Parts: sequence; C-alpha cells; structure tokens
Amino acid sequence: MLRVQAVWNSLFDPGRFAMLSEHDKELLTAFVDGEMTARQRKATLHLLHQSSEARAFLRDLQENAHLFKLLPHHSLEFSFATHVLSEIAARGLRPIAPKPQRAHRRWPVWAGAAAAAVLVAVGLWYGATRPNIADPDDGVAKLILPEPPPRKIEMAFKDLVRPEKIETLRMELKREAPVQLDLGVRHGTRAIERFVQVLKENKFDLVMSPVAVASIKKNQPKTQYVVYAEGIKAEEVLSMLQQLGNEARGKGQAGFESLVVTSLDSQNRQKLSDQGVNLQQRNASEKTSPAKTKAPALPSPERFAVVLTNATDGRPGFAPEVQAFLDSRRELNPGGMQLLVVLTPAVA
Amino acid sequence: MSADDYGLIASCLAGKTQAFGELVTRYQDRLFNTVIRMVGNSEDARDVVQEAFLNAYQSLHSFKGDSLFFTWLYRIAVNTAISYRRKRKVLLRLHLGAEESGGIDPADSSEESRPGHALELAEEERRVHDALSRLSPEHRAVLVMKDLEGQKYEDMAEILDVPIGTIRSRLHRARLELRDILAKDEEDLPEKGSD
Repeated sequence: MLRVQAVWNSLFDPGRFAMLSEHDKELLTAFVDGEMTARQRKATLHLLHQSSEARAFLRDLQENAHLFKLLPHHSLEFSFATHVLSEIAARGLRPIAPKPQRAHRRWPVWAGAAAAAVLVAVGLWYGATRPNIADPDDGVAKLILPEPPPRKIEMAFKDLVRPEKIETLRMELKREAPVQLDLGVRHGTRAIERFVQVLKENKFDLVMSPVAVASIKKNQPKTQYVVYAEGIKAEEVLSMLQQLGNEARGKGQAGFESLVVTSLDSQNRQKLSDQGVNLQQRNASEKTSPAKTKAPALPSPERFAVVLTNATDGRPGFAPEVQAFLDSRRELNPGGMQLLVVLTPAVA
Repeated sequence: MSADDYGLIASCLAGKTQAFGELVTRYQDRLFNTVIRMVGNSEDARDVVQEAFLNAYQSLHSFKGDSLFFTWLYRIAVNTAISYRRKRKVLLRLHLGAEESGGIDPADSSEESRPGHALELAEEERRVHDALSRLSPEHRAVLVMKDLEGQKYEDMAEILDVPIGTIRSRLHRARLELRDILAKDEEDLPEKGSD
C-alpha cells in the first residue's frame, strides 16, 4: 500500500478521535507545528498526558507533517529567466514608482493652538452604516502592486508590532481627511473601559455622558461605543493603538481584535451631527457653532473630552455637559486629527 | 537571500533589466515548487511564476527592504496563484497524470532505481497533488506554505494578510479536509491500493 494511503487511513476512521474537541485538535495541530504560546503548550502537554486519543492524533499528525516532503522537487528550465526578461521587453514593463503621497498641507496656525476633544457615544445608531469588517477567514491578501495606497486599511491588533503594518497605519492616519477607526472587539464594555483608560493614561481629559456611564456600569458585552476625538496627533493615536495591540497579544480582557481605517464618510458625519457633534472646519470662518447656548465657563485645557449620551435619549449632543464642551473646544491645531472611533463587539 | 539581492534590486531600479534576470534565476525554482502545488499543474504554475515575477518587477519600488526579498516575492507569487486559480475556475483535476501535465515527473533519483519505485512515487505525488487541487485556494495555500515550505504561522499571516489565529484554524481544517479527500479517494480505488 502506498505510504500516503496508509498515513491518511490512520486518521480517517471518524470515530477514532471522537472524544477530542475541535479546539483540542487545533491545539495539537499547532503543537506539531511548534507554533504555540507557553500557556497553550502547557495545556497541550496536559491534554497529551491525560488522553490516549490525543496522543494517537498527535502521532498521526506528526507523520502527516512529512507527507509533503515526499514529493519530488521540480525545476523550471534554465532559460526561464531569459523568457521573463523577454516578456518584460515585449510588454514594455518597467518598475513603476509609487505615486507620491499627497503633500501634507500645512494647516494655518491658529491663535490659541491645540485643543483636543474626545466624545464617546453609546448605542446602536451607528449600526446601519457600519462598514464591513471583513471576516478574517475570508481574507485573501492583495497583491503588492503599484496602485495608490488603499483608502481602507484592515489589520489585526496583534500585528501592530510589525514595522510595515505600523508604517501603513501611520501613513493612513496622517492623511488630512477625518479618519474613522472601526475596532472589532470581543466585549464592548470592557473594550470602551480600556480605551478610555488608555486615553486617560495619555493625558486626555474625558467627559462621559450619563447614559454612557450607566451603560458601562451594566457591563454588557454587546454594546457598541463611539468615540469622537479632535486635535489628536496621528502619532498619539498610533501609540495608543499599539498599546492596545500589545495587550491583544497578552492577557488583555478587552479583546481588541481587528482594526479598519477608512475616511470618515458623509453618512457618519451626518450621524455625528445628529448627535449634536459637528465636525470643526479647518477654517475659522467656517467653524461650526454647535449650539446657541451661552458660552460655557469651562477653561480650555490643552486636552479634554466629553462623552455623549445615547442616541435613544433624545439629542445627546445637547446634554449640558456635552454642550459646554463643544462650545469651549479650541480650533484645530496644526496636525490635529478629527477621529471617529467605533468599538463594535463581534456579536453585535 | 543575500545582501546581494539589494544590489541587484538597485541595479534594476537604475534601469539594468538584466539584473532582474539574476533575481529570477535565484528564486524561480523555489517559487515554482510552491506554485505548482497550488495551481495543480506545471504549465499553469509556470505562467503564474512568470506573472509573479513581472508583477514584482513592476512593483520593485514598493519593496522597502523591511522583509526578505524572497518573502516579498513569495507573497506576490502566492497571491497571484490564488487569484489565478479563482479566475480560471479550475475546480478539479482528478486525473492529472504526469504525462498529461508535462510537469509532474517522478523524481529522477538514481538511488531509487528499483523497478516500480518511480511509479509508486509518481502515483503518490499524483494523489497528494489531486487532493490538494480539490481544496479551496485558501486551504491549499496554508498547507503548501506550512507543510511544503515550512513557513512560520507569523510569516504566513503576513503573506496572506490574516490573523495568526486564522492561519492556525485554516491549517487545521485544511489538513482534515485533505485527509478526508485522500481517504475517500482510497475508498474509490478498486484494488489498486493494496499492491
């Protein structure tokens, strides 16, 4: 009997590994590949110690791992390179220089300079316009071709240690347009708590709406949260995301999983506007006045934040504390970003 | 991969196309061996490798040197193979024989010169090859990258642009699927498997 048949036959009996869960089998697969964390390894060794079925499955996997090594090596003809060069000549190909990044326009220097605002909303208002966060399992990488940099960047938080991913993200965040970050999380409330904590650690003053506070207290995993920020620098956002990415690889409870960066589209601008949050214009003369209430007595600190109430609670932007913040925000500082962050639990 | 790759790339970018020929010669077989397992036959594999090199040539400016040149090239080739496969909608190549494909020749090792050995090897390869061709492009890609190329999960995740967890589960499912296909094939074989 051919070896390949013998090897795979040993695994085929459907009842043979019936006691092993898919998770166990997946762990054993990773064990054979030598690709697991210390914790997973410990769990796998425990499983192997306890289960003869696991040991049998492992033995089979180990044999199978060598299956492809039996396959013979193939070669292309020596003249293949010449043929490729001929094709290059025939098609008139040449290395295409990437299109230059849009020049980073210098923002007018405003008197009073920097102000940062962070607004957090909670609720389902965003759901209708939520962009598709691609199922990771559907992901097939795109070719590295000389097209312009994509306007939609998708990545896993765990990948935020990779220099090329970080650079891609940095470039996207430094675009002029308001940016939208869609964060896929496992637990909505834990994620917003952690996100707010990170904002505070980065010296942002934060104002939270009563409804948002109440929602957080309920600790519901499926709640979607929205954060709006103004005046934050791209490097600061990047740093915070990397911090969350580090936790994604560790024992973080918030469950930050995926990240999608897009331009803030008109629909979501409108949604924000409906919440009482008008994006500040870059030109002072175009600056939107969010409300007609009298100017608040708030000081205008370098950074502060406001949390919106729920969309189901009337016009949240007109909550007094939110109103006060909006009226007191400073004009955008040069390089300051307008950022919408949406934290969406996987089950939402 | 050698530091010399960078010199060749620089030469290419300076307009010396011949330098690219050297890069092709260096990596053509490694890519070909991967791609042939992904697309199912040597003719398609040759086309895919060629397209991958042409894509790479046009994209040389985008190679920033933050990964190995081969890794970058490999990524282009794997993705070209996946998209090629989808475009062609080649679903099954159940009876891909060595003589038919023109590329799945048995290894010409002189050590295994006993009668029948080469035939067995060819048959074995054909079976694995056929089974592979019946997997989805994503499953085939991870199997080839891991079990043939010995790539790390992390590199595979980067190449396919998916999380590592996806690589692990996809690989697991791919192995189970391949197992089922091979086992079913054996069931369908009349008496051949017992000789």
